[in-house]
Amino acid sequence: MHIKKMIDERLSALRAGPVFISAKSRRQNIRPLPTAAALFLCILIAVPVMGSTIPGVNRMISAVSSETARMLAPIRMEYEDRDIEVKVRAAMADKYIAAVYMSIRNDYTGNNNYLMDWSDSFNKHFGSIGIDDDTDNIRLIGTEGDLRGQKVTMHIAPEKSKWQITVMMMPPDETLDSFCRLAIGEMEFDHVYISPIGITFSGMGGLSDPPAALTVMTQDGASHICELVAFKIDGPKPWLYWVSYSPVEAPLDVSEIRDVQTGGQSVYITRLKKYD
Amino acid sequence: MAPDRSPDFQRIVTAYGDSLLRMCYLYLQDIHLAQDAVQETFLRVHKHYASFRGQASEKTWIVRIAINVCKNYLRSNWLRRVDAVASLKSIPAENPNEYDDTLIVEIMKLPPRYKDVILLYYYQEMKIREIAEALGAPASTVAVRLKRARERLKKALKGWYFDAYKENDR
Repeated sequence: MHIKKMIDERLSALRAGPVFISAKSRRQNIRPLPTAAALFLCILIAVPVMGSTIPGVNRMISAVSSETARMLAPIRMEYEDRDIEVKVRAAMADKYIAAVYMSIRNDYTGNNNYLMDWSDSFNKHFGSIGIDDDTDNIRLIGTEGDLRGQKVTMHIAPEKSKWQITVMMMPPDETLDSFCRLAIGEMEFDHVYISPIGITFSGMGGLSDPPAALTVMTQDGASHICELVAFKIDGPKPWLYWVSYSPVEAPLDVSEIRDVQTGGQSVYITRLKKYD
Repeated sequence: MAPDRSPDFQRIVTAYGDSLLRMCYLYLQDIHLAQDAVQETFLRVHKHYASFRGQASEKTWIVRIAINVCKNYLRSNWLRRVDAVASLKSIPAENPNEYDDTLIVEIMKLPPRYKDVILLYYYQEMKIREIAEALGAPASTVAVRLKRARERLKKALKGWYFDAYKENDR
């Protein structure tokens, strides 16, 4: 058999076209659940709902192991009391970092009269106080461990039993995994992973200081600042390294990203839809 | 005749896209990298078409760009642990039972310096002179590499069915 024909027939599924230049969606197909699994799921959902209202069930939940209790804890993305209001705007974890974007309005913001405890899941905390409305916009970043699909409970006061929110760290619906070309001093990056909560470059070579921030340009002409949140190195020389940047304001829409810039220069990313 | 300075990109993608993608896949053994490589190839073609002087054929020029892009990718540390068999299994075949992947896998396993001459000669159906232009190497070097690549394939296939492929039976 003719070699060219053999290759063309075997690889007939590989066709060049406009589709492959767009960002790759990693959306998973949802399969129908068997009845037993569905029933178990109903119980799993019902118990925490009851637990939030029935003291006996609440005690039962607290009696089981901490891991099970965490699994059964009801998702609570908002908390509001007389003098504090907490809202989680996004909670997501990709394969490199985890991020929670939340706002806390407190009548006494500025006096620092609340404490936060995020159970060691997040090792970085960025916050800014709104000028007009006494609201803290807080971004929690976790760079150690994989939090994808895990529940995390955060306490918003010294009295942990009262003010708490629990979030599910959702894996991103859409990511972009691509070849890139970025040189920073002696560092050379050849791979980039982009999710709504982070841009992670990886590469190999010498070492330099990575820039403190990147700018992401979107199709609507807006620019979004992303701060350096993680810099990991594996050696010995030549070093392997990863640097992660997290958007400051809110998660990004990956499909809308037009350009990534550092120091005013575009980073070459092969699978980025730049030329629309 | 001087080439048109504004490329008919639709024609170029239609004429070369599929074969470049398949060649890059066999070269890189990873479909996503191959897609990246083809995209980068076309971007380079688009950017440099005005400087294409027509000394080589358009196909030779584009294949040369694709091979250079693939070589750049191969320098990346991301490709070191690639399993050719597993990679090929991830590519769906119309009738999986009808295909014997042995030859293709052995081609994928060749070192790059042999793989490129085999792919250009047998898959892109280029002449030794054209391959030499595409690789920027003397024709004699290409001929020697092709001979050694065939010997490697023949040894890997243990005379199984590679013997059936003579030089004039690509």
